[in-house]
Amino acid sequence: MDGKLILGFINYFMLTLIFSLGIVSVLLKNQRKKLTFLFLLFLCVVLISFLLFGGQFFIFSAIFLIIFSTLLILFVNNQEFFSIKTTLIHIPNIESQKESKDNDNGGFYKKNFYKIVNYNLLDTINIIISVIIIIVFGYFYITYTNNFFKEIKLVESFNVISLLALIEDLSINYVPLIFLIILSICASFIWFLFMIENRRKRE
Amino acid sequence: MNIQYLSIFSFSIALAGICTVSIVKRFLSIIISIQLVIISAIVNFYCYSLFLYNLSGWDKIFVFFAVIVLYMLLFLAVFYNYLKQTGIYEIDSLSNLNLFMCTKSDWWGEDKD
Amino acid sequence: MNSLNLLQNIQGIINNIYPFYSSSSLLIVVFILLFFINFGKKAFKIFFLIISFIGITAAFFINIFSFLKNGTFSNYLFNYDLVEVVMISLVLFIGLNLLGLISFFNFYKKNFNKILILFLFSITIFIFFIASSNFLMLFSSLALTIISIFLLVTSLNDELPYKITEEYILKNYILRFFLVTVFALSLIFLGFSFIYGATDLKSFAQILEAEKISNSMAKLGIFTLFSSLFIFSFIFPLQSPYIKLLKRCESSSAAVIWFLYYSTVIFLFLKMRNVFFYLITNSTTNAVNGGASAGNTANTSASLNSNILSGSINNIYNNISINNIYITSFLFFVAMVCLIFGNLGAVKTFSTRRILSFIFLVVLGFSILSLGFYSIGIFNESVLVFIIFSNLACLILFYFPYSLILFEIEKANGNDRINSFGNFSKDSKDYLIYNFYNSFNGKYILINLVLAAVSFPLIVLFNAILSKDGFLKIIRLVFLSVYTVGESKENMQNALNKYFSLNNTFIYLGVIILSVGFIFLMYNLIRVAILMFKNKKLENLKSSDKFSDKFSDKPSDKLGDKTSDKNNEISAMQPLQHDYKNQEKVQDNIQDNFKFKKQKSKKDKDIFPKFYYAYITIFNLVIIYLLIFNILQIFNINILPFEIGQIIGKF
Repeated sequence: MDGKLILGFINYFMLTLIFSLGIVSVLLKNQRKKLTFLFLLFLCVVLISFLLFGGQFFIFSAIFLIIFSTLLILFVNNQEFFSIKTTLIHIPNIESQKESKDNDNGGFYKKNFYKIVNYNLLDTINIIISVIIIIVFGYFYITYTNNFFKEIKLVESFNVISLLALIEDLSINYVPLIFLIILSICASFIWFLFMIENRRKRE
Repeated sequence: MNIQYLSIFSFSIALAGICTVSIVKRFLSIIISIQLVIISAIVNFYCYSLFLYNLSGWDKIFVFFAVIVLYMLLFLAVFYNYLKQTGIYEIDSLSNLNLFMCTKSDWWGEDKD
Repeated sequence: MNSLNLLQNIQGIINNIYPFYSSSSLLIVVFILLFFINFGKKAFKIFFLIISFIGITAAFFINIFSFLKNGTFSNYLFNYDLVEVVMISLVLFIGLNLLGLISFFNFYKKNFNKILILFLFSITIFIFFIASSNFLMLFSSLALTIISIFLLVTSLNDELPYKITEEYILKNYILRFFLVTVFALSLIFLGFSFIYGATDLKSFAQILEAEKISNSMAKLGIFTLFSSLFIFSFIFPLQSPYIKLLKRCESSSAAVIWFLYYSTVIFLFLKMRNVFFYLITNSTTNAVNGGASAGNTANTSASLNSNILSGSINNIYNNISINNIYITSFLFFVAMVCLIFGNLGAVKTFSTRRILSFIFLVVLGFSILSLGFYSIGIFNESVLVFIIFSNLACLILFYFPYSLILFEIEKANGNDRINSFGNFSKDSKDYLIYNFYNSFNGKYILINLVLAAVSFPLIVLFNAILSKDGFLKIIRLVFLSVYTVGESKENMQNALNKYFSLNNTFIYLGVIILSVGFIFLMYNLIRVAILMFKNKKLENLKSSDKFSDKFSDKPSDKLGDKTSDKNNEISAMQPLQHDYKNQEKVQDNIQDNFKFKKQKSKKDKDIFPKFYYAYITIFNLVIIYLLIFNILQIFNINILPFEIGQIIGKF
């Protein structure tokens, strides 16, 4: 009984962690901090997949995720360490300067007040619409799936399929899909070759 | 462990992902928001398999292949962005990639943006 | 004995790979071409082209003949029926035309061979997606198709002579477009997780047979799937990434997005069509309007399938019931928005790319309107599938030659503005385009464009009308006063009264939306053709400068410098069409890429090669034939050796 409570608590805790780490990671501005929280997020996902008895197959996906994470690190570090950090000077058109009455700076850039207001207004409208949509979806989800969860029959004990049985099922039924993935990896390889070649020429 | 609470938690993660995808502008933030939706789906699969179906392997195979193909596409997008960088920080990392923002030129008139 | 065993083994392999003979032939072609991938000479490129053409043509015929010989196929992962055969045939026909378009605009690129191989890969993977029925196979093959389209689009938009800032703008818009598709894919993954929660079954057919779809968790999953389909299709108000990308990308990649990407979206809907039909026909909300007062029966496919051929006029209105008012209203609203705003967006702009992008969304709106007509009972399932296929086929027949001409003129002119096509400065030595517009060839092109512009919307409209026999009888009666043989006067009068009854609000709404969209579309298409050939005169530099200053985004304009040289004047929004023939002479330097050749040598007498005229003529002849066929059908004259209703009924 205690074990089940502890397991349940850990599950809810992990899901809460995933939620909060995800939100924090999205909203942060510093890219390296974003990545840090993203990796913690991946760690929590791997843990919860083990807790939900799905971890055996997640190992293979985790390997793939590691490759993806490595690329993200390269990408972010390339921007953070090797790019030029200057502020771009936006030189406006001389005609628009003549038209604006507030422009007393004689050629220096001054942001048009109305442009800022319009830009932020669109942003706030976007945020409001997104929040309304998710509240509506959340409400409909809870009300309509209530009956579903009352009617379902749960299993008596948790039983997990073995890795050997999974691999057997995979090899019998999903060979065309494996073939397709290999094809697309070959196509991506060809694409990598000539994109990298063109980048070298550009540099 | 109650399956309803677990599914509500995972649906809230999905909603967080959907909300943030429509709001954020940076490339990395969009990638992270999409991860949240994917993670919610993975948690759903494992939860339902554990509570509802005995000895089900289909969800694990589904998650396996889905993660491979989705992350392959994300990998290619990140790699393409990485290859085409200009070397100027402001252009590379502060560019506005808001997915669902519409300007006036998307509806009417010439495209000046 | 050994040779017999070998033959038996080969036959066994061939039987095992059915129904993928077409994709196998494409893979054989790819395997052969891989040996020559690094050979960049012209002879090898022509060899690549010829082999690819043969491969795709062979795949087209193998697909049809193998189905006629072996029939339907169904297993754990795949389902192969008449609908799948038509889909694969359409994709292979699109592939043939795209092969031509990609070659016309990318032949002189160094990586042309690799681009062709990626193109063949994308078609192969697309065929697997079309045949898949299992959820896992469907999702994975859809994602792999999107991956292959991404590889193709990015490779086509590489090696362009852009400035760094323009290149990064294009890269951002490509990423923006494909990140939306990734998001939609992740929503599909989420939707399948909800369906898995409802049931352990692995395909839509199994779920419908077991009637598990009434489960609330399954409905949530299906709602998520359809909303991701909405996001996939970039319908208003989510059209921004699509419109912005198509304005800036390379010409053939625009065609790839129109026909490979949007075919994926349309075929994904057709994969889920049975679920859509179930939701419409088995909803609990009943009809509100009195139009379905007499015999308010549900739209069952069995009852309407008999009507498609016999078409007794009373049965149309007896069977109309607005089964789900919410879905119907939503479909009509989306169709109205697409038709009105797509046309409005095309009216205001002078950029041919934007016009074509908006018109594509308009035609998509026509398909959505036909879904609305299905939900109110005017069409049945097989008719709806036929209309979706015919709309796509009409788009292919119309868009390929039309966009080929516009892209080629854009390449010669340096930008895609219609009203600047005919403005040439006295200082410019480019009399080639001016002479072309005034020549017989130019006028021939103009006539073809106008004919295509007039015929295409009419065909789309008539496909909708002819698909429903009863609809056609109403129109004959109302507009031609032709009484159909076999129908009594009373029946016809009752049907007319119901047609004009004020209670049929949705029918009225649908007809109004259809007619407004149709008129608007025709106006837009004819406008493009006529504006292109207007103002065919030499004008001064000053007038063209004013125009380009207003719409270009160059740094020189930001500084207020108006004394830019005409030859280097480019719009920042436009991809430059580089003259790759002289690529060896161009130094491998970023600055050299800023120069471009706006004019061809004076020895070239024409913008278009001869092949273009034959291509445009053949497609226009097919369009005009279809138009004549449709018009004669209205007067009850059938020029085909079979009844079109028989083919429609088989879907």
